[in-house]
Amino acid sequence: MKHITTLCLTLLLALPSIAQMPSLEDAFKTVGAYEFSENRMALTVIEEAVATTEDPAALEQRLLAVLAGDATDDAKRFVCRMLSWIGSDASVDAMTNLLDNPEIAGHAKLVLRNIRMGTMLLRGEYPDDCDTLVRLFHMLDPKKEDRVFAALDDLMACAEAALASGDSEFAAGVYDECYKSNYPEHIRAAGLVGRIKLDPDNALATVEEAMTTGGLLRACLPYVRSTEGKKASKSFADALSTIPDENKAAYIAALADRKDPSTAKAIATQTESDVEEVCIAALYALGKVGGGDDIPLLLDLRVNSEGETKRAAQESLLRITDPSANKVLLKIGNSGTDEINAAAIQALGDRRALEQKDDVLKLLSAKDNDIRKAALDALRVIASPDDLDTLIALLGNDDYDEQRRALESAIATIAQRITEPENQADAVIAALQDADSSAYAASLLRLLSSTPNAKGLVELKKALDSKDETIRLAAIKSMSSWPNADPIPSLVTVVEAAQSEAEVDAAVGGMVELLNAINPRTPDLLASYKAMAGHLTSNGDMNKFLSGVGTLATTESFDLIQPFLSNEKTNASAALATTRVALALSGAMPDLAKEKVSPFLADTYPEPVRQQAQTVLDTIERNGNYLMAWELAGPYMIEGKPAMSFFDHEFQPLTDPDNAPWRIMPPASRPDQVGVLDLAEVIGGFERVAYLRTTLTATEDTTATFLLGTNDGCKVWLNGEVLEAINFGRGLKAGEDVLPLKLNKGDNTLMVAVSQHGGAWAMIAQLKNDKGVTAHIN
Amino acid sequence: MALNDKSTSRRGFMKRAAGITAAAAGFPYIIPSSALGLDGHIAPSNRITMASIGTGGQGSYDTRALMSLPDTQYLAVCDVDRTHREASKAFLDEYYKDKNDKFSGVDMYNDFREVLARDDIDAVMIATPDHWHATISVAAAKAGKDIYCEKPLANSIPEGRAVVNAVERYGRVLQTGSHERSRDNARYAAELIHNGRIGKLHTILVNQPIDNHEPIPNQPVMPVPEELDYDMWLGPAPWEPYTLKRTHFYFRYILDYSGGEMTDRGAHILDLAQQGNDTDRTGPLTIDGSGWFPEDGLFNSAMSYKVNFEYANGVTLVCESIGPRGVKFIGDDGWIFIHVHGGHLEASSDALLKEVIGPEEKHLGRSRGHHADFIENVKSRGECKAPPEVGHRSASMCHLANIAMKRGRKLHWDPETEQFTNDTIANNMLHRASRTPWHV
Repeated sequence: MKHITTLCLTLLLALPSIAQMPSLEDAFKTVGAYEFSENRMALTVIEEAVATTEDPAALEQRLLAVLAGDATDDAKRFVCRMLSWIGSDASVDAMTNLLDNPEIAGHAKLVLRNIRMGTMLLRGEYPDDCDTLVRLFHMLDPKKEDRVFAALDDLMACAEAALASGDSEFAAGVYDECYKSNYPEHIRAAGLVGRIKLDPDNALATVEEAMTTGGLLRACLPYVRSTEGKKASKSFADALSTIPDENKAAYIAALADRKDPSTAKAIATQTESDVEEVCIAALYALGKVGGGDDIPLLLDLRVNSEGETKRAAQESLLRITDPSANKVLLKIGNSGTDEINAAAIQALGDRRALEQKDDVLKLLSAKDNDIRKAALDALRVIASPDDLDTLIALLGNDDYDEQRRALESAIATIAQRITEPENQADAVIAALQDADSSAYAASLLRLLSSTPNAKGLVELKKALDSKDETIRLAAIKSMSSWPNADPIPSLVTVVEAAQSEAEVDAAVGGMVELLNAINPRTPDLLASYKAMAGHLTSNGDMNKFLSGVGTLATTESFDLIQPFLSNEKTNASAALATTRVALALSGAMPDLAKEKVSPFLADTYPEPVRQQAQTVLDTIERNGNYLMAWELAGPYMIEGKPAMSFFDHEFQPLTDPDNAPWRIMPPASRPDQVGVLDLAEVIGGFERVAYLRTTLTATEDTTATFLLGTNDGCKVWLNGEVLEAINFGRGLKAGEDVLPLKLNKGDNTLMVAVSQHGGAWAMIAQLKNDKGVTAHIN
Repeated sequence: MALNDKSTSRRGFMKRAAGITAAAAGFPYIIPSSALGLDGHIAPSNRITMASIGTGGQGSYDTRALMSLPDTQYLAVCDVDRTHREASKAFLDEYYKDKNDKFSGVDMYNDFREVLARDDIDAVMIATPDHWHATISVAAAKAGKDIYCEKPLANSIPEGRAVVNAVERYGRVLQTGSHERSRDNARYAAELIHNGRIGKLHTILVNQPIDNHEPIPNQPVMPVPEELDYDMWLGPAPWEPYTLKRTHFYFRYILDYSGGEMTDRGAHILDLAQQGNDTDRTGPLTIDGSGWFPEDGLFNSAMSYKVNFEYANGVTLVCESIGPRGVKFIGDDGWIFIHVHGGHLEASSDALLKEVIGPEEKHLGRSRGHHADFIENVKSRGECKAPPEVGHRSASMCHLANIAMKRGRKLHWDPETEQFTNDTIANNMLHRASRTPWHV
């Protein structure tokens, strides 16, 4: 089978009565007796054969033979469904015979439709004879509205077909009929839609008539949007003043969607409407059609109004496309120091007014703080990396103390736009060499963490040697915000040197943050956690520390957590950390995991702790039928190469298994992933391979069956001998590979390399026929 | 007159049509539409009057969301399960109790046709199982109602096209319930992509993990609960005997009523992918995938899958049943990931997510919320954020994926004609059987 292959183990467990898939021959023998709620594997076999067939005629005959026999209704429906995919003229008679059975007729009709026999046999239900429909329409009792409307609907389908084939005369008759004033609005709207399709060149006149004497204003609104031409814009704009207030807001929205600035004047007058809804609609509309002249009004309302009016003014201020808008904003920004002036400058940023950058830079020298702040906000968007020196220099100017944080934020954002990360901190580093005040240098050091790279870290390390505590603290805090673990050795040095309590606290806090952020969570991190354990002073740092240790899947984590269990303030966090470690070890060491969590089921522990402890027990129970005792090494990859290309490459677990960094593989965290080892969750990333290893100890020479599923490819070794090699992408399916294992008395090493070709990355394994065999990690 | 004399007959139609105008003048055809303020009439409340059809889990959510808007007024609820409609009526009546002294409570219906026949209802919300979406949507359009229809818009591609045509024919407003695209973050991400902030887009990775991925055994036939009109629940779907897990919620894993995870949350995530790719009014050129459909048991939709789509713009989309749920757009200069649900964004750099889209650049228009957007457009007769064509194309992606998985080969698709160009059997798989008398 191609894509429905061997039976999923999960299903096997859920459905113990299922033995194996029948052959196609056997399936055809039994399918006629199928009734709902019985085993449907015969249907599955036939369905896959039909769905993927290259010889439909042969299968069609076999299906028809089922129908000719004494098949149940459930079987007939299934057969019809199959014939709807592959049926030919040969099926017509059989299908026609089924049309009288109401519970099967729908299927039979589908078969007939698919073999293009529907129109002949199903006349009346799928009308395609327009002439007959016309005759029927005239015979209808006009009082029976439903039938009249249904007939008109069918006639509109005829009209659309006629129009497509060039018969506009017939279509016009239908649409004119629908458009009559005594029909309901939606029938008339359909008539209008048809009339415009019929004569698109005359759309404006048609719409004008429908809006005025036709009484179809709302049905016309889509055409107010879409009817092309300046003439249409003028006509619709002129009509605005005549639209009743209750429809005016909708009309303005439609008029604005034309995006024709010539309508702006008419729309702007409506901003003075007494009807709030109309006024707001006009304000929103100005964003689509307005120009520089509308900017003062919008700015005023943005600053001095509230609620929906303010939001409309704000949105339109940012949306006006008129080229003069930015110049008007700059002029207003330059003309005073009140809130409106600042809002004008800020809007230049919100509008991404790149061409106004130089003028906004000049505003940084304004005396008013609000204007400076607004200019910085705008520059954050419109300034380029070329402007960094100018902005950085301001950090050293005492006059800008009040804008220091805003300046730092703007500089960081602009620097992050430099394409090469290794150059993003250059301007700051250059300035650092000449920094002549603590505040200036501290600002620069803080900035280095927003553009983290190796050059910046060098500067931070240098700053740790400064005699100025302000500078040292700034460097420590900047290191604490670093996106990777590189600063940890420097922070360890700070802790060991212990120049001041504040610095030690900051360094320890920073180390916890950095260590907790490292992925993957390998056991070698434990040494770093151990190094700082004795320096923790604040409860916050201790809790973060425990949170981090709780993610390390090694028995040593229990020892590191243990002292915190006896501290009242950290007891709950330590208990939670213990249960998390136990969960990670629950596959490889279920007995130890149970032992570790059992004390935390007691009522004396908070609910989250008890829940987590129970989760450990549930996970062990859930995964009981699967092979969960695995060590993991990896990921391994070759930079820039897809995993398929290095499928046969021998990485350390093959070349030097004793020294490979094996660690315990945790079970998947989601409860629905029964038996799954989720490498994407534990490691992540793309185009790589990981190795999983377990030891199978046999009491004597014996055999066992290894059931394996991997996403994507895999290679399997038993005692160094390759058993299986699959080098292509596939989904995770339990038991997809069935591998006999020949085990020696004593320890046998079973190893699986699982490759990742994009997307999910996981393994699911089971050992069967395994009497006298135990699986465990080394 | 000979029936096959089409030209004569058609000209004759117009002659007689002139005659019927006079005869029809006295027909009670005009449905009062004063609630909308149509034709110069002032609406008594200026609210959009609404009914919900399908008031189970998602229907309750949608109903509450629409009910809470200041410019709606619910008049009716409809569900084939009495307990659902009674619960819906109860919370609506409670909501309106203190807001409208004259309101005597919403009416309840079992049959949606009775709801559509009411002249005083402007719009309907449809949150039935998927196999009903198209039938009710088309009927609603024909009855002159505006429509909020849950995703997927239809249970097959031809049904979806029928919905699009009906809505267009009658000038109705329709919002597909793919509400993820109404989130500010999803819109912003799409605007960043459309305006070149990640360079040329080349790959889209769609993650659609399956939460309820366990198949279930074959189920026994059960007596139909007294509160459920089971025949109406089945509606256009093939007849099958009742069993509990065929109906509420679980129907989505049975292909007669839905398309599994692919059409369920796939209709959200693939919708965002289509939006970001700027292809939400068209479709892919090729589809190639594999999936695992349980060999036995009640559920028969794909429980794991990997499907590749190729577009005319050179973009490749890979849809896989993995987490985290969301969509990643990868361009020459960076990437953006939209988490579904929630809309949280991740990107290749922090600076990317601080980018401002200027007025001259492409904007997709802000939504005040998916339900509010619908009501706003019912009033202004504009286009909703997920109009019929967009909803149909997103649902089509899901259906195409399911067909490609079933067919097990690379399929070539013509988005214009909505036909496969290399596979007759796959074209036949586009259609679904309908029980009489239901059809779109």
